[in-house]
Amino acid sequence: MATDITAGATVRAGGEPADPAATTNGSWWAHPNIAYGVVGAAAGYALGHWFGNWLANGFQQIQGMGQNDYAVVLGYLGGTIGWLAGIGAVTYPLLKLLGYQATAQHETKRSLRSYFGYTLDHKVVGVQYLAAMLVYFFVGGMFALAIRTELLSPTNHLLPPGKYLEVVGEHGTMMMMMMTSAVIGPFGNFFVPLMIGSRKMAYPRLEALSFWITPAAFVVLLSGVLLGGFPTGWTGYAPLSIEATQGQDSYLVAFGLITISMIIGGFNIIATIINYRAPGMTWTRLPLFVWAMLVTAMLMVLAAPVLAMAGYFSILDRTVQTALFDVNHGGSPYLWQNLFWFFGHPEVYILALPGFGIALELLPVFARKPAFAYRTVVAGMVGVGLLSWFVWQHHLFVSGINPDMRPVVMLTTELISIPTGIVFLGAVGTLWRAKLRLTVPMLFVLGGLFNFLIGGVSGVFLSDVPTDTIAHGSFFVMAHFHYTIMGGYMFFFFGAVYYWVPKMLGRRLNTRLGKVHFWTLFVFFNSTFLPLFAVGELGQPRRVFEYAASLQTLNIWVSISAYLIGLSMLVFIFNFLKSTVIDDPTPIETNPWGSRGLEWMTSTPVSANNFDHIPEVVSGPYDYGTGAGPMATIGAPGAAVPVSAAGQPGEVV
Amino acid sequence: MADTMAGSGADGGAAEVGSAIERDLSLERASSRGAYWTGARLFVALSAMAFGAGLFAYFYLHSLDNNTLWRTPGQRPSDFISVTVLVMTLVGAALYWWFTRQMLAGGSNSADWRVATGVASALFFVAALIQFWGMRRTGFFPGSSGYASVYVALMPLFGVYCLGAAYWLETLLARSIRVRWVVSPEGSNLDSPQRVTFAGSAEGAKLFVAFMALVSIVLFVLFSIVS
Repeated sequence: MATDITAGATVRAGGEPADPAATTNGSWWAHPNIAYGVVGAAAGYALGHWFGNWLANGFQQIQGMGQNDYAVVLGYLGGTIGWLAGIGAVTYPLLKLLGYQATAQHETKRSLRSYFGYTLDHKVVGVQYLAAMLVYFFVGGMFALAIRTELLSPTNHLLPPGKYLEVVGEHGTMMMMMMTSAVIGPFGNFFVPLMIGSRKMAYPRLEALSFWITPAAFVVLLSGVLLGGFPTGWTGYAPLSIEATQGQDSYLVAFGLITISMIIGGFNIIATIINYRAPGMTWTRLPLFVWAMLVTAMLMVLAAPVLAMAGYFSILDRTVQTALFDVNHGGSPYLWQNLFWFFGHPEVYILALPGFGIALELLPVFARKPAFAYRTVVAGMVGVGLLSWFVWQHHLFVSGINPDMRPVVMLTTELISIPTGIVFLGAVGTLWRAKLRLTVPMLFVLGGLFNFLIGGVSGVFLSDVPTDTIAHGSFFVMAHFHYTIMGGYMFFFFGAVYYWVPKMLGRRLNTRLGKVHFWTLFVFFNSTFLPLFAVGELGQPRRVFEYAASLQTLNIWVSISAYLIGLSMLVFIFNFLKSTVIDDPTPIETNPWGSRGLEWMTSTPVSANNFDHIPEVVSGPYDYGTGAGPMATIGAPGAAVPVSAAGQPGEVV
Repeated sequence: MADTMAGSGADGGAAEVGSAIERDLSLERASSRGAYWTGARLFVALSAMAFGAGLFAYFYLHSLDNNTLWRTPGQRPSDFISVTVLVMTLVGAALYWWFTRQMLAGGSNSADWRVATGVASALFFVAALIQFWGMRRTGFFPGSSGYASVYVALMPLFGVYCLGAAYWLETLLARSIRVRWVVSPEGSNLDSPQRVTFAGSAEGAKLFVAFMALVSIVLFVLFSIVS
């Protein structure tokens, strides 16, 4: 039965009455869309805000505070629910109350409209994620440029101190929170089913929901600027978070929404990888990118609930006036620090591992040789995931951890450099004696490895208590994590964009512009962040808008370099829009990079069902130059159509 | 097999395609069943992490006892409300767990299962309402101590989870009423997608209500038994 893939048309199960949404085509509620979402959000916000005011009327304490956080929090929650209802996310859960159930989404049609709606097609969700993540990244980048503009001078200020902190907070939260799913969102959702030979995701509605929560979180986070911002930065430390103005509510609600998005997105990825692998796709044939997605998703699903609880506690402290973080009434601000970093440090690996997954996936393709030490690298990624639970207290070295505990946490923190190093060496090992093809994606991967090395080595220093005690809170720390996250994660992310966009959108990005983008980004990234190690060592603290006059030259250098990073990003935006929207569509090669991966065995654009029949995997994904046959057979069993016979290179040596 | 394909006529080709479709459907049914199994366990695991964070707060603040304000003398939530919620949760979980176990094993009358599920759903729903109602009758200010703060934080969360359990069981009940044979499958229906998803969801809910029973006991012990 042909069915619409939008949420309004839930599939009819055989032998039972059709569900109302599938048959009532004339009804407005059967066709949810973004416009309804916006209306729903506005109505929900107004209703929630009114309810919060009504609720607070009975509480003398709130009336005496001068600000009603109830109204803001409930307004945000009402707005989010209204948004999701308008976009169609709650249609199916309500229909389930009446006993309706979707059973399949195999025959689907895709249109431009699908990309702006609540869809069950994992490819469309992947593209939606990609567009959204780029928007979030560039908005976060604009905040970064505002920071660098302010730091051009130690004494002449464009921003007052409070506003500067708001900008720092918005930048940090946008990058560390909204960008958490920058890889798992677009590439995980789009490619994991294709790479494991599945025709669908395990929970397509949850997948769509995980995406459509992010625009709500984005708006809520940005709206904090209108409410006085939040002075805590992205870490939201108490007691400042409890004393802050209503802008802090936007931080807490937005973080809460993103944790929900992370949890359900990771949940779906795990269930898909475990259960939807094609026959023959054994654990030792699983692409390294998929392994990285699996470990990352595990971290997301198990760590994010703790952060959600921490945020919930903070909201309670601000609204119903519990004292969970108030030391004067039996609480403790360290409770926040422990809960936050119990999520916050795995979060670092939630960012790093997908990046490494990309690097490990792309390197064999462009090195034309098997992935080095496959099983050891997988063990390394799993080891990183496991050890990441035991290191969070190094964030408390200076703020008040029991001194006797410091060596233990220092040890666990240093230990994690071992599996991380194994993963890194696995990537470098693949380069050994390889015939490298320096394509744009490969350049980004190599650049990312270089940057991550600097970030990783500086991290080893910071894990030592004596060094951390001195460097804590300085620009040295800031340079370290920008090297790992922007220098590593985002370089790998851009590598993936150049590598996989031909499959996602059927357009290949311009190579010349891509190389301009890479080289300018690589040079100006290092020009921006390498001097910041020195700036930090010379004593400039983070989150302070004034600094010693002797550091102005270095700061000017860094700021100008940061602007040039911005220009490099403009090259990317121009290239992306030119190649995907402006240029005439020209047919591209089905497998432009000569990859063995299952994802390249499908048509471009990928059909709704991914594969006509579930493939049979017969060899590993990285058997380049070994004489192994194609990775899988596709088509009906017996038809045994190998990749190469399907008009794709399959094996290019 | 390729030889077979090549040697067969048009009818043989159609049979091969039919067999391939049957293979795909069979694989996807197995995947779907597995996804429910995995999903239920993941959901319980992430819920355990959430409640675990609450328990961490309980023990952390208890051990710090800042300003000797972990718990002021006499702070105790209503025994009537606590016991009522505990009993309703345990009875609801036990009812659903037992009858679903019977149903999935093929040994339960479908009407019995529906009644048990309906009652369990109602018990979870009412337990949630009582829990929310009880939050206005704690007898202590939320910020008066660490204990009070943790209680005010965790018990509404537990109420929300009770609502979630009630929702899940209600959807199963509604499903079994709309498509009656999913509860008492016969013959070829056993392997139908509807039956697979229903059985997977019912089995997942069984695990979830067992988790809810455990959480209710832990919360009762911590807030009402431990002095």
